[in-house]
Amino acid sequence: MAVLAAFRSERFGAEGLETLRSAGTEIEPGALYPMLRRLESQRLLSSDRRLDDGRLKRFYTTTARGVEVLGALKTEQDLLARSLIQLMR
Amino acid sequence: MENRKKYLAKVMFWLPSRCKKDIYLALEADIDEHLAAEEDRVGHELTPQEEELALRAFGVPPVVATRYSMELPLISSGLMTVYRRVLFIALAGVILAQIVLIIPDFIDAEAGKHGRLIVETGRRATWGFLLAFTSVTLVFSALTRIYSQWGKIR
Repeated sequence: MAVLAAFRSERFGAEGLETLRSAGTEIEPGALYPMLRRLESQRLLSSDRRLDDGRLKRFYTTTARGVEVLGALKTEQDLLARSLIQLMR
Repeated sequence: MENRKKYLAKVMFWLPSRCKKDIYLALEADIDEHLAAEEDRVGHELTPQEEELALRAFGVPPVVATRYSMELPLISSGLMTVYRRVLFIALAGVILAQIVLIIPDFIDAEAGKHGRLIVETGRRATWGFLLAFTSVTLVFSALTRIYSQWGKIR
């Protein structure tokens, strides 16, 4: 869910890693990169490999399907949070 | 660069040979991107020590290998609780069956033949355990594959 949210705008792996870290989601690069490839194989992310500042980088973006899945996950998360808040009262 | 080669070799060691080539290419590209991002961050070419640290931050090789390998596990985590219960019931069933089988023989056996009976029961129980373990594991492994295919079809 965090990865789908972080890559809604086009980013390369290390950039996405920084975005996740700055939002408080710690993840090892060795976990993020294969996850990006897996999400791409599930068509939740799309990628484009090109030169940027003289270096070859793979840029990922969340697809329309990925945004849809992210929305469904967020609704589920909101429902869970709401029911927990109600239980805590 | 020597560290990079060593790291790649360490990850490759943990992968099955049939998917090594594809994963190697993906992993190599990702490591290069990771090292390049580190160079951009520190503002100079990485020293061997810095490169080693960056590779260590990438992840422990066996764990990284598992993450890159997209192979299905023998039994999915979703089925693991049920698998453990069924396995426990099957193994308990083997013990129960052996106890039921040994009691009449044990009562009727002549003096001095009890030891042989216990050994014989132990042998049968061991085979029973192996058979129960293998069959339950095979069934759950097949279920894991069926559910995975079903997930793909949906």
